[in-house]
Amino acid sequence: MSRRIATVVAIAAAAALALAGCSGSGGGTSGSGEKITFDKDTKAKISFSWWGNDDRAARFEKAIAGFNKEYPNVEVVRNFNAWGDYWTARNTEAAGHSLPDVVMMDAGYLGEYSSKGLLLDLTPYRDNLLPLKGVTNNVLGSGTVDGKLQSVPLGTNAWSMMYNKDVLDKLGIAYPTADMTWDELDAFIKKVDAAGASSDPKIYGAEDYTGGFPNFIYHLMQKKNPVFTKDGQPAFTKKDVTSYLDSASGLRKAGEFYPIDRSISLSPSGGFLAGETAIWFNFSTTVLQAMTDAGTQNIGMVTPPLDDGKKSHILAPKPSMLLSVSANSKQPQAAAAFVNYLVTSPDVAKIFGTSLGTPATQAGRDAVDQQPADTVNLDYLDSIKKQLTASYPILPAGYGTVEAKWSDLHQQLQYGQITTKQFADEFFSEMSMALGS
Amino acid sequence: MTATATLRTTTPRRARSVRARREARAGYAFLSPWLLGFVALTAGPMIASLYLSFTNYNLFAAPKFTGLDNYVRLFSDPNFLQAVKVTGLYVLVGTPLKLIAALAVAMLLNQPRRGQGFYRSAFYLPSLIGGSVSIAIVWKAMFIDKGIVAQIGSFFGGPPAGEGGWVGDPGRTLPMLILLTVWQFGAPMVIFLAGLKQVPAELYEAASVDGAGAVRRFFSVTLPMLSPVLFFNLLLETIHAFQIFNSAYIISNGSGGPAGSTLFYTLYLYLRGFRDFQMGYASAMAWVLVIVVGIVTVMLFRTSRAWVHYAGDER
Repeated sequence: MSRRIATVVAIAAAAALALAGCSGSGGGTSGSGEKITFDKDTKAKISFSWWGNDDRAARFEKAIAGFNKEYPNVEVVRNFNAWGDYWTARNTEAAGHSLPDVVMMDAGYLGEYSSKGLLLDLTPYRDNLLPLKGVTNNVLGSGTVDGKLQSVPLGTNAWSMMYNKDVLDKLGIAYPTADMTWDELDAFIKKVDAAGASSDPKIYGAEDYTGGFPNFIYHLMQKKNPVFTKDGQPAFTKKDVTSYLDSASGLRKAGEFYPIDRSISLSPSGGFLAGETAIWFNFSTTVLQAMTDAGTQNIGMVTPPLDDGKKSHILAPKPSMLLSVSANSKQPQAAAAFVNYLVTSPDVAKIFGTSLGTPATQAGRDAVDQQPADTVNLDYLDSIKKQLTASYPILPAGYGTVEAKWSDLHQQLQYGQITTKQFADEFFSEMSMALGS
Repeated sequence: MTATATLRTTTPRRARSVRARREARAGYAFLSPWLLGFVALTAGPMIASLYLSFTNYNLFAAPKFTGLDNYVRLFSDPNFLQAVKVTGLYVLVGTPLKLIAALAVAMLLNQPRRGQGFYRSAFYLPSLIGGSVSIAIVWKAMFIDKGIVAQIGSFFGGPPAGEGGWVGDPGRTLPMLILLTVWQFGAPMVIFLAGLKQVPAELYEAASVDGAGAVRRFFSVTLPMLSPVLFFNLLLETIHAFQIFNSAYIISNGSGGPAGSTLFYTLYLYLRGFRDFQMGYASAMAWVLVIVVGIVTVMLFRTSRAWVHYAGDER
């Protein structure tokens, strides 16, 4: 009964807010004065899905136990998948309007999901259930689409270059540094290849570093070039793509990169996670995964190489993970309260360290009981503070398709089935279709 | 006398027609769960997808009618052509190989031998679990580098499997999946076995008396007598092969990789529909598949007149 009343109140409040228009955008004060409430001992059942490994699942277990101390009667039904399966499962649910109440969201999918009206606008909940105390506005901005709070960042991270100290020590090679150029990196890779050729399994310098679309985003960012236009179209040319891919063609053709055959057979992990390559490019929070999978805590992190003649990097904080409440949720109040708890509770920050991104609040960052992975990540983010000058590009609806196409074409490129020009042609024809509507 | 006779004949007739009507009603009543399911879950969605195939539909917004655009786009889509090529190869090579394996094993298991029941069960087992996810995972583990296949291969002096094994080599992923389907020969094998039991022994005796050897007996007696069963198996397995999805999805982590080498038709359809939200395009693909499978089936039926012999036929 009380739940029904709460729902009615919520709908009324939402309607009032909608009628009041954008007047409430300043923050806490809304014209209606009615707050969306949810008593702490209300009975409710919400579902929550995330991507990640068993380690993350164990941590969520603890975090949810903490939430249940505050809201003892809210049952959180949990479900998690690996990254790849996660989105196929969510997309299928989205098609049937049966998304979980709380969905872990990625910047690459936020545009897609919000443009399709799958996510609840959380703005009306800010008054009471979702105060998000201590989360700065520019962090919230990365979850705001068209003025609606569609998603709340759990934390941020930045593009980085990781290296396996164990592997380099064994081969007697000095660690890479933050001020390397790409030419120096190429020389470094060759050095590792030569030294690692006699190991079993062979050790390589790196997988082809033009392989993922985020690498290309980093590359464009260094040139201060935008990636996508405001209306979600590519802001780069075919020439940009070919010249970028060609920049690594020397190493690619000479077989200096980690062999694609092996990397495919290891997927979804890869050379670095198997401890068979020395360096890896990824967002800084993935260092935890690297430590877990590669089985060593001796992983270092520096900025990716510089373009020739440049002195400093241009980096951007990227929301590493966000939380959204689905539009089809029947328990939006409980879901909002849960999101607020996960984002702002220092206890949660303590449980996760920086494995979900650097906590969004200062209290959270202070609460982190630094494990080796947290230290590496936090030190790295500290060291690049002055270089975090750009904002991460807003990824348009259809971005997931584009990113998948890049990887697929890049495989064909590595197998020698297509040229970089064919790559660019096919990539652009896919983009015109995926980003068209 | 006559009056009673007519009475006797008319009453049962009327009663029979009433009973027939009642039985028909009962029949439909018993059929209704299936009918409901067919209309709601099969026929309805099929008609909807036919309409959607002429639209641009992203699952969430209302479909926009675009005429034949989706169908036109198919033929300039390199991924589509790749999917057709891969699936075509799989059907053309995999199905005959599977049938040959099934027939060979059925002939072996048809011989009187002690413990034959055990062998039959043992050989049928793979197809019971064959379509499952776990087998595809095991299959992948066998064919990666340092997997058992690479080790056996190099033990017998075969070429080294190379880094990545079969899984990492776009030239060998399709053979790997064909091997998987050939290995799952159990279902057609059981049907062949039943067919072999029906071949009259006296035909073999007569052929032997006429001096026919084992090979001649196989081609002149076994095959013609088995041809209806062979046709049935061929039809079923061909249609199945067009629909391969699970094993390819698992072995390529749902990507159809490496480099599109396992991008089977249904997998690509699924990716377009559920990864890219292009339901109109995916529906068009589904209808092209329906039409192609229909044409292949009709063609098989046409050719069957030339080589399938039914008992009591003139030929």
